[in-house]
Amino acid sequence: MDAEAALWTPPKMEGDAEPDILATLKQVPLFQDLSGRDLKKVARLLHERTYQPGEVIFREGDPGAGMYIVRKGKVNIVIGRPDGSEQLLAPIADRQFFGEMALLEAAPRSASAVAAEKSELLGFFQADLESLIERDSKLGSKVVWNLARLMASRLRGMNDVLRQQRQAEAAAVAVAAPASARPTGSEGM
Amino acid sequence: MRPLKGGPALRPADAPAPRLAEAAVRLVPLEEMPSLGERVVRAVVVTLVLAGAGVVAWKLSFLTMPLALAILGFYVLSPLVNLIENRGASRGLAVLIVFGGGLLVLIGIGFALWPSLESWLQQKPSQAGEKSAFEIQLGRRLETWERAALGTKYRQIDWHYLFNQARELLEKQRKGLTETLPQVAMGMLSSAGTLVLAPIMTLFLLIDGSAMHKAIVAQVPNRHFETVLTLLHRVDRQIAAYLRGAASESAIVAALLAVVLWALGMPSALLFACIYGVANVIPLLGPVMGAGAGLLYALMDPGAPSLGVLAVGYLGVYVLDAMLINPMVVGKNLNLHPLTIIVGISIGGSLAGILGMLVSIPFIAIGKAIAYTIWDAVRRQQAHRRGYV
Repeated sequence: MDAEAALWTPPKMEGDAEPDILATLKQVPLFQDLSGRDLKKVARLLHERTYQPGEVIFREGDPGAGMYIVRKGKVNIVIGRPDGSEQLLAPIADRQFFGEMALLEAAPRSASAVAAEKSELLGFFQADLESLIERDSKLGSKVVWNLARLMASRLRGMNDVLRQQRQAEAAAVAVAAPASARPTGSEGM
Repeated sequence: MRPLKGGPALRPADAPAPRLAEAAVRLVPLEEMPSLGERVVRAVVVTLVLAGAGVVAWKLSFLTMPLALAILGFYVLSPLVNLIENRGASRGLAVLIVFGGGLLVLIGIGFALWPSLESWLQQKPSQAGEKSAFEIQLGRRLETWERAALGTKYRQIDWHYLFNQARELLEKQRKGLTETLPQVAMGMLSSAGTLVLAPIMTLFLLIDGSAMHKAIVAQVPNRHFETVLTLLHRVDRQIAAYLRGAASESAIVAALLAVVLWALGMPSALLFACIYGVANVIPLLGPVMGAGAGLLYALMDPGAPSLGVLAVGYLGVYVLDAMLINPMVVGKNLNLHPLTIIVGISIGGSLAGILGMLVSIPFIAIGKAIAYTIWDAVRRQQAHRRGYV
């Protein structure tokens, strides 16, 4: 579950809150290092959507179509458990993004996204990325390159979480082992 | 359970499953299962909307064909426009370059085809007692066949009568064709609206297609947004792959056939190669129709090569197309059942003639992609409801 959370936790954002689309895009690692002209090209592809509090953006298990950037508002990433309980993996706030893995493949979503308050989102989908690559391959490859770097960073984060878990488990086993191996009084008799 | 980055867990993993009272505080609201009544109402509304759209399309049928042709033109030309845009040109300039180039190619083909068309149009219908060159040639061919093997081997059959019937039938067809050609030309002029509107619509689709697409998608409710977007993307990819492949295949086959027919000494080789190339877009029946036009003409033209040689030429090109060109060029097959294709072509032909036949298959494929995506989405939703709720 921690590893899943590492996949969904958004990177920290810097800068002032600005509702402007270009200013929002500048904060997204996927579009970093892009010129103003390039950002405008990307902005033309984005889909602006507004969600009411409690409205589902996508459900766990739905085929992934693309990523969302929170322009204004707050979105909860929630995972369901087999016993019916739910767990909040990460709250996504202004100028943060989620669902970028779906840009690469239409695999089922591993968590649900629900608007925690009235939220304005910018959608960037697989179809838009393909269109960008077809029409401006240089710009498209920059975005894909950034996406690859982002994925690598996510993978590193997940590896760290798994390593910590493994170390914690090993420590727990080490603590428990001497206690169980210790001879009892009757055995010594 | 440890709290996670980004927020606390709502409920521990080892806690019992939520009761009805707790369901109200769920973070992810349950998907509402519509009642039978709601489903019936929805089905009626959808049927009415579709029927209304059908009626509107029927009433605006003068716009339907240009729009259909414009969409096909958009799919065929957009890779070229994208290619030029990719080299640094603005979208508008790229569209103008492709349109200018396309216009020059069309004018070139027109000039190359005009002599053949002109000679065909100038064929006068035979007067009473006179025989046209075509009629004389037809008679000679049929007599040759009659005198050859058939007439001598099976004497119990009245070959003379049968060949006379065939001669009358073919001559009637030829007369009809020659006499109606000027009318067909006038008919083409009368449908100039379609011929003018379609390129203009294509032009605007190429320039503002993505903005129009975005504007349409913006109207879709959030609940169905991703499904509709995926649906449009799938349809777009499937149709684009098919149409671009079919257009490339037709161009290659037409060029190849032009060389073969020219080498065989067929008059108006380029014209018949173009007819075959265009007809080739229609699956199954297209090659038969294309080859039929050339063979029928050869039957009546004294300057044409023998039917056997010509048939071998057509067959050679067909085999080469089926074995080599089609698998290489048409990357994605539509996987339509042959019966679907035949029914689709028949409906398209009865509604809008040759143009209807040409556009029917891509539109059946669009329908198939839409139906598949909706079915897939419903299936996934139902599987999710069963597994998660």
